[in-house]
Amino acid sequence: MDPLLFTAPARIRVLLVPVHPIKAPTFHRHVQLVKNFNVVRLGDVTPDMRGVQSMFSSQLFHEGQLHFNFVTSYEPEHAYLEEFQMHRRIFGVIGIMDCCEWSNLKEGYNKFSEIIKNYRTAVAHRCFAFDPSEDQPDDTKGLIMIPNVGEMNFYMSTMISDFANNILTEFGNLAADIEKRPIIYSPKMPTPNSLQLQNGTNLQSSNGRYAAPLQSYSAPDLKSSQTPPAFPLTPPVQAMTTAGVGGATAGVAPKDTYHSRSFSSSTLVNIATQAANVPTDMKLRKRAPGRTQKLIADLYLMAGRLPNAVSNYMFAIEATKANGDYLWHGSALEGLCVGLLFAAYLHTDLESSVIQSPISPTTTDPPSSPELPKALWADITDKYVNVLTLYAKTSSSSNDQVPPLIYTEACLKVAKLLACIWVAGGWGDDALKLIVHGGTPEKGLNEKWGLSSVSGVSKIEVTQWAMKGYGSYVEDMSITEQIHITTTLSTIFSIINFRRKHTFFLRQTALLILPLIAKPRNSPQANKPPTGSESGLLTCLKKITETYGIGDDADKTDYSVIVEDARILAFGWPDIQIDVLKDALMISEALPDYPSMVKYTTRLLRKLFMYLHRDEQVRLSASIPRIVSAGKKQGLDMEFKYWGLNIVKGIQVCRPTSRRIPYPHAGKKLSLKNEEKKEGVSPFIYQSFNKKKADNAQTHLVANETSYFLVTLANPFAFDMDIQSISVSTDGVAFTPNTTSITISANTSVTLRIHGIPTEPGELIVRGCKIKVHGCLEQEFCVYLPPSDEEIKRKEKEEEYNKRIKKCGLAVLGHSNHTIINQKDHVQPIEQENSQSPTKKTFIPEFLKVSVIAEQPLIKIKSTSLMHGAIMLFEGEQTEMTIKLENVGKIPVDFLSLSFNDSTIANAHALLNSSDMPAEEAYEMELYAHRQSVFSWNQKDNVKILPGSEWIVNINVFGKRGCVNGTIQIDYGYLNRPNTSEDEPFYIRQVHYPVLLTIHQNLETISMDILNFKPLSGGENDGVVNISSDNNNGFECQRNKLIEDLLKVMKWNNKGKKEDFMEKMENDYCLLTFDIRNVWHVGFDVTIEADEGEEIDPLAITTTIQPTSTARIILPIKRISLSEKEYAQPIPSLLEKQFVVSKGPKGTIEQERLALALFWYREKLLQKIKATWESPLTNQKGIVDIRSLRLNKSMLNVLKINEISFGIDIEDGSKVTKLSCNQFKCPVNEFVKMKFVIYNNQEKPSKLCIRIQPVQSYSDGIMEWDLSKRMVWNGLLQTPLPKIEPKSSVTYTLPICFFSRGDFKFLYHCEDVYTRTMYFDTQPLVVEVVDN
Amino acid sequence: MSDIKIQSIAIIGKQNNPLYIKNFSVFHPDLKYHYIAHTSCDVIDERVGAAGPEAADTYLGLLYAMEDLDVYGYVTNTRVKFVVVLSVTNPVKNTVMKNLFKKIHNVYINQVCNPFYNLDGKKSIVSKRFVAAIDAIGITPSDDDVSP
Repeated sequence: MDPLLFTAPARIRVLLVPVHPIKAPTFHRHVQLVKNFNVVRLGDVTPDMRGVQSMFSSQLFHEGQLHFNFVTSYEPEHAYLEEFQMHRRIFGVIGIMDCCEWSNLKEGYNKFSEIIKNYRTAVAHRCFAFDPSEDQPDDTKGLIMIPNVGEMNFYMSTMISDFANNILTEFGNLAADIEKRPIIYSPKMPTPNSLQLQNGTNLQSSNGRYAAPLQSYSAPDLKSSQTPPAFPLTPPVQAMTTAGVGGATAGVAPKDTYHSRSFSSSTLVNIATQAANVPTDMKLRKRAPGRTQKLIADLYLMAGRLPNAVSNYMFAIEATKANGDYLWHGSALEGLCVGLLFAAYLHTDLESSVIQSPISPTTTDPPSSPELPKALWADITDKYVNVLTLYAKTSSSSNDQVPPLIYTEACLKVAKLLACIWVAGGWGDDALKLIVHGGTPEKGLNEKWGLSSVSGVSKIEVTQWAMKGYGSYVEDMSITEQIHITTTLSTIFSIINFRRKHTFFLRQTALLILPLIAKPRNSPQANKPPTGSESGLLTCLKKITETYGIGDDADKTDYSVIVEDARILAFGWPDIQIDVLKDALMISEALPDYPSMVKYTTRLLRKLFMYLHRDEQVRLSASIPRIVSAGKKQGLDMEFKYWGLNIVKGIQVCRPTSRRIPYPHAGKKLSLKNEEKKEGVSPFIYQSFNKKKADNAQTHLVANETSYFLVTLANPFAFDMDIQSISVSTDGVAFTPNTTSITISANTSVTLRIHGIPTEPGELIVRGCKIKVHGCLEQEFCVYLPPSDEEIKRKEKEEEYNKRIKKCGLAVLGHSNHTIINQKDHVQPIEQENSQSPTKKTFIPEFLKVSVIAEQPLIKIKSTSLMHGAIMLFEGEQTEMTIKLENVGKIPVDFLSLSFNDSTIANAHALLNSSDMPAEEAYEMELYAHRQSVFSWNQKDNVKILPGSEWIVNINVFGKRGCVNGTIQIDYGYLNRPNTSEDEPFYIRQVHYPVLLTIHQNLETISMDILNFKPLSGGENDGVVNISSDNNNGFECQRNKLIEDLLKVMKWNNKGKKEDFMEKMENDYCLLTFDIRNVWHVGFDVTIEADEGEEIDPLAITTTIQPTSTARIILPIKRISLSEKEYAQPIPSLLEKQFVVSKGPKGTIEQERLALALFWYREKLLQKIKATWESPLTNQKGIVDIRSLRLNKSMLNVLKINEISFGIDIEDGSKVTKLSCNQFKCPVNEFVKMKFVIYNNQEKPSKLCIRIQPVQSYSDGIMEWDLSKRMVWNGLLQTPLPKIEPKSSVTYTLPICFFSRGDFKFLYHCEDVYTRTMYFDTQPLVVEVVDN
Repeated sequence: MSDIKIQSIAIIGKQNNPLYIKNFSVFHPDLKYHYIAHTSCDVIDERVGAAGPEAADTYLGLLYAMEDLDVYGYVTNTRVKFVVVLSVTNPVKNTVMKNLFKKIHNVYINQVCNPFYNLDGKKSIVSKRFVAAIDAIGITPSDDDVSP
């Protein structure tokens, strides 16, 4: 029972003693049974037979109840108070005997008789023998057999009533004794060394504040009224049995010493005599009546005779007030309060009795009427204020000082009273029930509404009362008393939901208990399960840590999964938390309870490591193995999970080396097609449909090949962490992990490469790592997705919200507790709900999904034909290299594909993209980049490289200008596996072979020109032609020589005769010339070939060019005719890129047209010519780059055949001679027919108009335009011509007669009548008119 | 007025998190005042809650007495709490305590005005100026008690 129950003064204390031997559970069972009968109605009490002298029991029917306080332990150190507060005394002893343990009940009873001798204050005793067997005779006198069959309750209540009667009778004797006493002393606290003090004189007690004279137990009278005196001085061993039953009695008081303080007659006598010496004898005598009244009132109170008690208290109050006997005055007031309260509880109308009492001068009218129940507690509080003042006054008096315990208890009682009222939601029957019976109040009624004002009691009031009882004098009290006070305080604060204060006192209690339970290490019984007090203490610790935010909840969230490192605790003060955990550690060390030690050590480290000094962390972490081994020695299961923070920060699949990377392909057919065409460039810059797969994000593992994982581990602690084993933990397909071990030094993180082999294709899920930290169980650590920004924001918001709705911090504890208490049955779901709180669930483990593909072949380049992977070439050189491959894998290769890359492409692209070059230049650049590849390869079918075998690949290499290196990429795979379909995606691997290239320039082509041939031709008809004044023969010779020379230079002789050449010249040929310079130091044979088409044999010229010399190449080339449609089309682009409007300077339309024409004619020309070189010494051969040759406008004019061309002839017998093309000699004064032949070379008919303008040109350059006097003509100089069909001609004949000699020039042109395009001849017609 | 002896000054945040706790006592360990400040939270919460939101007075007066120490409380309008622990000598006038708390409040306001101070942070205050100012209050509480 709670010693600080408000109504404790109204209870009769009865000690229940086991009569050994009895089993502890049996004893407790019976104790519980007896305790059920702690309330006896006065009406049920057996009427007293002795009648007359009984003050407390009478035949008359009395309303009221008698309350027993059945205890199994009591505080002998408070014995000195028994005389002051009667209820502290043990009035009765009930022995509890188990019949099964005793064969002879008589002996048992004798033993009980022995026992009761130790409890001398007891006025009544009974011995209950439970569970008697059939054969045990019920004949022992005084022994009450309690059968376990039949109307046991009735029987028991009868027995208790009888017992009550017995006590009440004795109360009468007691009261009579008290009344007789002349002097009643105030209680004095026994000092620890009381024995010495007894011998000495009035010494000051060591605890200075309550300097008191010697103890003055005023017990002698009492003693005389009791059962026979002369008890043995030392109690027998059995006397301790109450507690001795395995120490299982509840409560924390030390039980082994209390009997030493129980009364012994000799002491009492001593004290009594000494007390007589106290000088203030007279005063005491005066005060005695008041005190007597008070004591008798106490007895009345216990006897349930409330009216009597109240009136007696009134008397006592009056008397003590008059005497200034503050202590007793206060005590009487206390008693009065209890009485009033009880009356209220029983709804007894005390009014009458109070009024009856002759003097009721209490200023505060006792408003105990049930109509004004609310006022009662206020009245009581007021009274208690008075009580405390009275008590405080005693501190000045030397004799009657209030024992601190009384003072404190008074405070605490009020506090508890108020707390009970508060929690019951106000003054009423509920509150009264709580106050009278004690017990755990049902929390929350009030809290729920938050209306402390309803009850009229504020928490603050409770706190103030409670804290009043915790003055500094408490420290001077004995440990047991302190423990009592702190536990009561913590209970009070728990009731009013002051969790911090509750915990504070709980912690205080634990610390106070600590020295009592500390036992020597290695005690043999450490193996046993924790005893009641120990487990109670552990529960205590649990509660304390919970309130400080470091409770077991903290362990529940498996911290190895929480992603944040130094996550700030949900709530709490780190300093205090550290201290509390250290206290907890200390206490569990004292027990010693190894699992708790580990628990608190790890919690301290995990949650507060950032506040702990490095040395401290090291010390704590070092202590763990020690505790574990100590625990193991005790045979405890000390395996525990890893306790720290998640050390795995990240895990990723290590990308294999480039030659092992498998590249996925969608299907066989598709991919093969892709191989053939070179990477086509789409015309769109941005393609939304064709997103390139970011394949670096996806890594494939290959079955049966070692795969590597990069694991990042971090150690946030200040001590080295020893990881005994670490391996990848996977799900999905079979995987053979490999374990390693590592030590992470303090405050660092490491990245570790661990490996394993997937043994079959499929999907492998990498969950995390299996890590065994030294001393802990192996555990799986996962990587958690770092919360996204949004997530963090959301969480912050949530936290903020939780703060507002009190879902975090200390408030949530109160809340959940409250609900748990309210619905005890649903504890489990609530906890689950708590654990599902969203803040804890935001961490999603990140499982790495890796696909494992079927086994793949692996090849390597065994050798190549190159030295050191380098090759040296001349520009344009063609050569061949070989690569020897070897299959080093386990399965064959049946697919091989080569692709190439060289350094020029990237450069060209960069140039193309960056600069804004003219289209023809760009075309040239593109051609260079793409049409001439450095490497090329003739694909072979039916590749099959079996494991271990070799394969040779031939590659053509071309010496491309400017190329410095290239890469050969070999893709291979095993496609035609058994049991695979066509569309199934497959994988290929790549081998890269880099080649260093050195390209030397050997030949260059420069200074091209195209010459017209017409002036040279045309003299054949006559054989002898006279040009101006020169000798005809001379001219002829000169011309022939020119041709001869030309032929020589052209090395024509090898090819044919002069006639052939001349013939070609006639047939629209022109001469192409350019120089080839040999810049190398070796001679080359160069062959130039002009291919004119099908019917004509290709013309080839071979010449040897010596080092550093230049050779001029002259080549007859057929003139080229291109239709307008052909040469006006835009310059194409090889790259199918998106059309971009040219930003370059735009020329006029004519310039544009010209540029196009130049481009297209050049293309045509270059198609015809092929130039190759050969080095006879080294047997190298290659091609000469002729694309460096550029065409200009004048060359174009020579090269091209116009759409409309002219042919001029003058016809008149033999007198007219043709000197050369468009040069004629003509006699004067004779009609000649001048014929203009107009050819239409176009594909379409054309309608033209011709204009002819004759002029006479003098040698000085002056032109004479008016020629009407010098010549006549028959016809029009300007006339439309008939329509000319394609590829045909018309002839316009103009008869003309020159009157004058001299040179005449005819300017003429045609104009298209529709398009107004003018067509001119290449040169004007010149007629030399001479005399006949 | 100089008879009051400040044992400790504690600043507690609105989430009941410790912001600053200074121990001026030579006899008691720091932790004792941590505990006192911590347990004060209960009482302050109750006081503030009971008074209702419109309660104008930020001074809470004597919260409770423990052993030989008196605990006084003060709450700002942002629910930051100041707790001052005095050793009991003579009864202290409320005006004295109010002045004392006002001074602490001023110091705290100065601290809050610092743009680099995170108002909602849970970290304790480490500003040197703040510490010095609190020290000044704690060591010589009576300097200008006379003047106002």
